[in-house]
Amino acid sequence: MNDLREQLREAVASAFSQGRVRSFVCLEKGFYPFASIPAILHSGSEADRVQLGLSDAPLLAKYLLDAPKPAGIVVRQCDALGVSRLIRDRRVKREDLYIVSVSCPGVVDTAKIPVSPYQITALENAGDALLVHTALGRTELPWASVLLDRCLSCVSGSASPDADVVLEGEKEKLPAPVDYSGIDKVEHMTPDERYAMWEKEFAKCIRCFACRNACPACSCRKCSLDLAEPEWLSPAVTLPEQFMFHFTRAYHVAGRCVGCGECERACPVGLPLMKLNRKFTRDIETLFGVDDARIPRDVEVLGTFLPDDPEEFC
Amino acid sequence: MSLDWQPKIVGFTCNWCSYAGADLAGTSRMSYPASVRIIRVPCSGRINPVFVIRAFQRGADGVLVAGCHPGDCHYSTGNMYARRRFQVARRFMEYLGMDPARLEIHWISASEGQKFQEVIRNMTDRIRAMGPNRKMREIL
Amino acid sequence: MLHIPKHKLLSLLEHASGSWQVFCPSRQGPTVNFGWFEGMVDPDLIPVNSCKGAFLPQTEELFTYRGTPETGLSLAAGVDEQKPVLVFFARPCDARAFTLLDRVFLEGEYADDRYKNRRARSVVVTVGCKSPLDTCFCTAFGIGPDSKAGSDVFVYDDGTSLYFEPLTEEGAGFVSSHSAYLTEGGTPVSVMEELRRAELPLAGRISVEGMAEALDSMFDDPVWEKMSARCRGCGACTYLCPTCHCFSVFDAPRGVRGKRYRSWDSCQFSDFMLMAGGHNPRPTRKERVRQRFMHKFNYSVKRQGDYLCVGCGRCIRACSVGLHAASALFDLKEAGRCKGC
Repeated sequence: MNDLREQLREAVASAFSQGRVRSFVCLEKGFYPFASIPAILHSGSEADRVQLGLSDAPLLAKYLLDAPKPAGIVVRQCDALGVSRLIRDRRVKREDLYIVSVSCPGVVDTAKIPVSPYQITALENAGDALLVHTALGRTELPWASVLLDRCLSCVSGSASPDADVVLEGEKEKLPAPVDYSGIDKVEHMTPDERYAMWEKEFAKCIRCFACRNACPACSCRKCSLDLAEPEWLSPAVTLPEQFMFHFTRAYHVAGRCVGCGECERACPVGLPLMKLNRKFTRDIETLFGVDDARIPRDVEVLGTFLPDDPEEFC
Repeated sequence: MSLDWQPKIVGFTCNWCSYAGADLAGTSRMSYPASVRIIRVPCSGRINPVFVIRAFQRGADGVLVAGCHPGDCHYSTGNMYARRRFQVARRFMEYLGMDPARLEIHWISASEGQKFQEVIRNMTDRIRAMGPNRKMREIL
Repeated sequence: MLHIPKHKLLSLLEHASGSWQVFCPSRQGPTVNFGWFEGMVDPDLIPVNSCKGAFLPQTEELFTYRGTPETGLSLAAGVDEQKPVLVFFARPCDARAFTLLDRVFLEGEYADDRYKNRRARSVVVTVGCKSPLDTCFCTAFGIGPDSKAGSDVFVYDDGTSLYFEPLTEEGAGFVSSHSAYLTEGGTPVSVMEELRRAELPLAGRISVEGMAEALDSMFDDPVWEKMSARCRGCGACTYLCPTCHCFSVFDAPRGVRGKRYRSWDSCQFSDFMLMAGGHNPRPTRKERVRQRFMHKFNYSVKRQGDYLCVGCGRCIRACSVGLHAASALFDLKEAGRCKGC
């Protein structure tokens, strides 16, 4: 892994020295143990800040919006989907980007380790398990049980082929299908049960917009829900307004969601936001014969039609 | 709820087909309940599903979305987008707990005054039996 | 000290909710949140949000209005609940935060009526923290797991029972009015000792000594650009913070009638300072992040003599990109050191 990190740092440094980039979006070490945080580098001399982000790594794609162009970015597959989303939404141009793709075995979620990060001396990826080293000894946890939720339905852990630089590590995450069981559960409830359930969830929502701001599919310069005129969303935080917010955001993202789950990870009060987005993703796949609606396409599913689309209305 | 409570139905109708169909029902003196409030849009493709939520927020008990039959859109393809859009949006609204009977989507042509009459009669009867809508209704 | 077995806590609160509006923690899915009592209480975990909603609700009606040219305009003030507020199971950081909010809403020329009404007859029951989280750093601000500032009753939790120590007249009144649920017991000496010795892993890394003075000359420091680069511009930190208190006033007109209300607002939102005409004095995240930390660690010290932070660590738990009071204090200290402060 250290070797991969050195390769990455070299790639970043040489991108600057060759004049390919004016800035570089990457991960660096955070204040909190094992937390990776986003960083925007402005010169090759900062390359030693670059980390692989083996745990608690946020998605980086959206930082491209404000990064001085041409901008470099380090991506794993989930990030690559986010970047692709921004390119297809015409928010960044591919020719303004320098993409370094790294393969990824999955990102550890330290919240799933039953030990405080301050107690951990080292985290070691050992095949199918994570070894957690502390002063008192060593615990072994199954690899799948400690990953970020999004890693459990990874599109593919391998490095993206149309990057400018491709760095293959020793391990990569195997692709895994999306788990729709949470959606099924809601679909089997009665309408009143569903409404009561969502009321209970939305009552926790504090309308901080962390979900929207974290989402690579939400990149409008002025979000329609922020407008005062017309006022689609009242600033009053009442339950009916929460339905309006979450319905609208899920609908605007429908068909464009890349399944990264940053919305859910960013939510400070634990709303099951992917239960909303995945409902749209699955319906779109089922209704319109799409293989994996998370993969950005040149023409979005809801931006087109077929003359022989399913006909449910009469 | 008093016995003479009447449902409020907001009807989004496209100018060229369904609005004309509603108009035909009127000029032909076909009677239908005075439950529907018609909002004319150029095309069913103009109808943003968020309008449906807004209607429920502001006191609608039911919402009708009506456009030209697929293939007959005045703008050629507007209703095709609407068809895709409302298939997913409708499922999502039901997923959030909206009562399925409160949103209806129909294709009503300019000559189908009778169809418009039937749609409104049926919707009104169904929704009258369900009572007023409380879900997503704004608190003011 | 009077005490109650923990498993009877729910019936105490159910009884209390007859004459109080009870604000307490309850588990909601993966998180524990403070909120108005709805039949559940979770006494063990520190909630992700703060108690400020008890006195400053996120959305509050100010008045309703109705008017036509014929009838003229009539206003009706928003009605407050008559029952006094009982904050149950605040933490010492939350209780201290109330005293800081009081400075904003009660002192000076103008006292906020709505806040004042709720605060006037309120009782704050605080539980000591035997297991501070690894995001807690209240000790950096002179607060600790057994701090009493801002509390009317202090509760010691020995795992099976809760011991109530009245600290004020109001607190004593609350305890005695619920004596039917409490029995006389000893002094929870072991819990008191535990609280005194409770360790905060984070507190050793953070110090605010000299911070307010150092910040006087750091308004244009490049540290703000570096720090704010990762901010996502959401309001999670401000909304979960026990001392943040900004709000905005809005109207909701509906034909001949309408309502004016206020709702929390966040200085981190891009349009927080956006003015009619389009000018925005804080146009980028750099200005807004700087504003947040200057307010907390410099301006409020100069204006009111206190840091506007209680080291509760909620912003640490809230922020998905690790930009919070602790990281800011750490980075600012480093930047100050580099300048030779």
